[in-house]
Amino acid sequence: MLTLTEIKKQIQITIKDYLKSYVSSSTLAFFRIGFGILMGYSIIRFWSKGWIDQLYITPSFHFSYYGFGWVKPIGEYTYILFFICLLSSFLITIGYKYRVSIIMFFLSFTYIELMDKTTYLNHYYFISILSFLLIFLPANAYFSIDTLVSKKSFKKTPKWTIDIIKMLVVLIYFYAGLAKLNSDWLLEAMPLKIWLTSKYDLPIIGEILLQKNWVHYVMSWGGMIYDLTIPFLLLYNRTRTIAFFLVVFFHVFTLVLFPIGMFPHIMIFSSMIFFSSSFHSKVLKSIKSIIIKLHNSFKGYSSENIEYYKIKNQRYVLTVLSIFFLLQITIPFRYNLYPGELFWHEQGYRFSWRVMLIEKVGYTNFKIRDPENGSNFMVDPSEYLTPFQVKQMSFQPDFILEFAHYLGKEFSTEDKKIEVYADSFVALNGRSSQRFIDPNIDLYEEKESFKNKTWVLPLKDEIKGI
Amino acid sequence: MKKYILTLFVLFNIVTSCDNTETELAGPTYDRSTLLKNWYNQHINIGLSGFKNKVEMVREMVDLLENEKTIPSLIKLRDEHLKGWKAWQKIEMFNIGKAEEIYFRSKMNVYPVSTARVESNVSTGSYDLSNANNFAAQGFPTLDYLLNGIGSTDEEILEKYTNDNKYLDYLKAITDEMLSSSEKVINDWETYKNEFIISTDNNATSAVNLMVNDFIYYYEKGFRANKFGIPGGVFSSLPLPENVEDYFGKANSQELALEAFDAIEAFYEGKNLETGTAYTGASLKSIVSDLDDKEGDNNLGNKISEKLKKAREKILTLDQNFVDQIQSDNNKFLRTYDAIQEVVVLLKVDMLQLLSINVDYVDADGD
Repeated sequence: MLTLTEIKKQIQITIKDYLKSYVSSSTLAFFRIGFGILMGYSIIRFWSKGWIDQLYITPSFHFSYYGFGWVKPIGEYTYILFFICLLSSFLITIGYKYRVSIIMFFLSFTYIELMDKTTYLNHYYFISILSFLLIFLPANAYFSIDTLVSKKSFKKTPKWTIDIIKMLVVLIYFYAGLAKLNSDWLLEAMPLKIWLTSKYDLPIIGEILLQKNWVHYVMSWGGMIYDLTIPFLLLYNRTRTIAFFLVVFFHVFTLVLFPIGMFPHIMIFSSMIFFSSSFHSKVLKSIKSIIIKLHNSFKGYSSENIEYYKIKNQRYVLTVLSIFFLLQITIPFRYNLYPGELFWHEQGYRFSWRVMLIEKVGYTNFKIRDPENGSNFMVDPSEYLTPFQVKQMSFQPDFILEFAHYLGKEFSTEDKKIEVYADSFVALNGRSSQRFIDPNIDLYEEKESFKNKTWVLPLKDEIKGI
Repeated sequence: MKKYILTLFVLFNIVTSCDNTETELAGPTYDRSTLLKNWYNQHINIGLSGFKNKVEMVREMVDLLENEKTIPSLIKLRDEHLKGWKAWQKIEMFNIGKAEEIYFRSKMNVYPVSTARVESNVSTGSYDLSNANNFAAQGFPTLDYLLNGIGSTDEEILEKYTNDNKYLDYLKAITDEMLSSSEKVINDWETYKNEFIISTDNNATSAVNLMVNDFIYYYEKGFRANKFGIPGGVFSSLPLPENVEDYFGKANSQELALEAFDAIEAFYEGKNLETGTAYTGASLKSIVSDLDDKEGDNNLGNKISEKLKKAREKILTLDQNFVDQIQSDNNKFLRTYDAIQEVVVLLKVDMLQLLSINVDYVDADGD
C-alpha cells in the first residue's frame, strides 16, 4: 500500500525525471527553420497581394481590440513594421541572434494583428502565441548561425521544449473539435451546407456531390471527429503516419474549398513536430548538403559539440509557460460568463479555436438623432468604412459599438452631444434574419467593457451544445 | 469481408439512384448558365434595344424643335423625353461591362441636376461631357430642366430656344452624347454576351455574382435611396424635395418609380422585361427558393416576393408627383421607404447568406 506522501513523492520524482529527460535538438531546429520560412512566405504573400495598403493604410478608421485602442497603423511606416517582421522571420530561419529575432517577430506580428480586429483570424492568433512560446525555447541550440558564432552546438535539448509545442497543437485541434459539438454543426450540417452548396463551380465534385445533403453531414461529422481525434493519432507511433496523411488530405481539401489562406500550410507544418527526431535530422542533413553544394567553403565552419543544453532559469521559464497554458486552457471557456447564444452575440468567441462555425451576414446602418429637436437622419457606414470593414462590422456587437462611438464624435459638436442608434439585422447559419441591436438604445451612451452587452437582442432560437 | 462489400454495394446503389432523381429535379432551376441566358435574353437585350429606340426618338424631336420652334414641338419632345426616361428605368440596374466602364449610369441619370453647371455650359458653349463634374449636367434630369425648368410657362421656355441657339445647341450636344453612349453599350454587348452567359462561377468577377451585386446595389441606391430616401430626408435632417427625380416636370416621379419597380420585380421573379410573362428555367427567385429549405410562405423566395408586393402597394398610394407628396404628407412617403427598405434586408442579409457569394476580400477561416 502506498501512502499519500509516497504517491506525492513518486509524482515529484516523475516530474523531476521528466524535466531532466532530453531529446535530439534536431526537432526544435527543424521547427525553427520551418516556422521562419513559413512566416517569411506568409508576409511576402500578404505584401504582394497589396493587403498592407488595402487593410491598414487605405481605411481611415480602424477597429481596435478592447484596451488596445493605442495600437494603430502608422501610415506609410506600416511597411517598415512588416519589413521588421519579414527580417526577423529570415533571422529566425538562419538562427542568427535567435532570441532577439523571435522577440522582434512576436512583437511586430502581434502589433500588426492588434492594429485592426477586422482582420482577426484564428491562425494569426496561433502564430502570435506560438511565437511567444518560442521566445522561451532554445530553438537555436543546434543547426544555427548562433552555434557557429558561439562555437557551441548542442546535441540535445530538454524533452519538454518539444512537448510543449505539441501540447499547443493538441489543444488547438481538440478545442476546435469541442466547438463543433453543437446542434447547428451536427444536426443541421450548418454552416457547411451553405458553403459547400455555393461551391457549385468546382470541377467534378461541385455540381453533383457538393449539392448532396448527405455530403454536408458526412463532412460536418467527419470534421468534428477529425479535430477531436487527430491530436491523439499524431501522438502515437503506430498511428502517426496515417494521421499525417489525414492531416494533409484534410487541409488540402479545405484549401481547395475555402479562401482559407495560410492556415492549411501552418497546420500541416505544425503536425510535423510529432514526427520522430530521426526524420528531423534527415531533413537537416539534406539542408546541410544543399548548403555545402552551394558553396564548398561552408564545409569549414564547425563548432564544438556539446551534449546537453541547459536552460537558464528553467524554474522561471516553466512558471511563465505554466501560466500561459493555464490561460490557453481557460480562455476558450470564458463564453460561459455571458448569457445568451454565443454564436449570436459573439462575446467570448474569439481566441477560442472556433473555426468555420458560423455563416453570418449582417446589415447595419446608424441613425443620428438630435436630442433637442428630435430630428434624425441615417448614416450609411460604407461612406466611412471599406467593404471588408462594413461586412465585419455589420454582425459583431463590439464593432457596432465602436463605430457608433466614432459616428457620435463625428456628429456631436462642443455644445451638443447627439444620439446614435443602430438599425441592424443579422442572419445566422441559414436562419431568417432578425433584428440584432435594440433600436431604442443610444449606443453613444454605452461603454465598451467585458460586461454583458444587454442591448444585443436575443436570438429567437436555441443552439444546443458546447 | 463479403458483408462489407455487400453493404458498400447497397450504399453505392442508393447513392447513385438518388443522384438520378435529384439531378433531374434540381437541374433547370439551379442552373446558372440558363440563368445568365435568361438575364441576357429576357432582360438586358430587350431593355437595351428598347432604350436605344427611345433615345433616337428624343434626338429626332430635338431636330424637330430646331426646325419648328413651336409649342407642339416642345410638347412632342417632352413626350419622347418621358418615354426615354421610362425606358431608362428598365436598364439602369445593368451596370456591367461597357456600361460600367463608360459611366453610363452617371451620364444618364444623376439628379438633382446642377442647374448652375448647365447654365454655365450653355452660355460658354465649351464643356467636356465625359468629365465627371458634368455628370449632373447631362442625361435625363438635365433634359427635364431644359424642357420644363428654364421658364415658368411653355411660352417662356420656348423663348429660350428662339432667342438664340445656345440652349438648342446644348440640347443637341447632350442628346448626341446619350445616343452615342447607348450605342457604345449596345455594340459591346454583341461580343460581351458570349462571355457573359458562360461566366457562371462563384467568384468576385463572374457575371452571375456581378449581376446579383448590381441588382442589390441598384435596389438599395438607385431605387430606394435616390428615388425615396434622399428626397424624403432619410439621410438628412430635413426632407429634400428638390432631389425628386423629375423635379421640373412635376408630374411623373411616381410613374418613373413604378417603371423601375416593374424592372426590379421582373428581374427577381423571372419575368420577361417587356411582356411580364414568366419564363422557364432559372431566375434569381428560383435559385433562392431552391437554396432555402423552408417551405411555403417561410421560403425566402416567397418572402421576398411578398415584401416586394407590399412595397408596390405603398408606392401606388403616393401622389404622382413626389414633390407634392413630400410637401403634403412626408410620413406617408417615409412609410413607403420603410416598406422598400424591408426588401433590402431580405436581399442583403438572408439572400446573400444563402447564396454565399464569394467576394475574395482577404483570407478567412469562416469566423
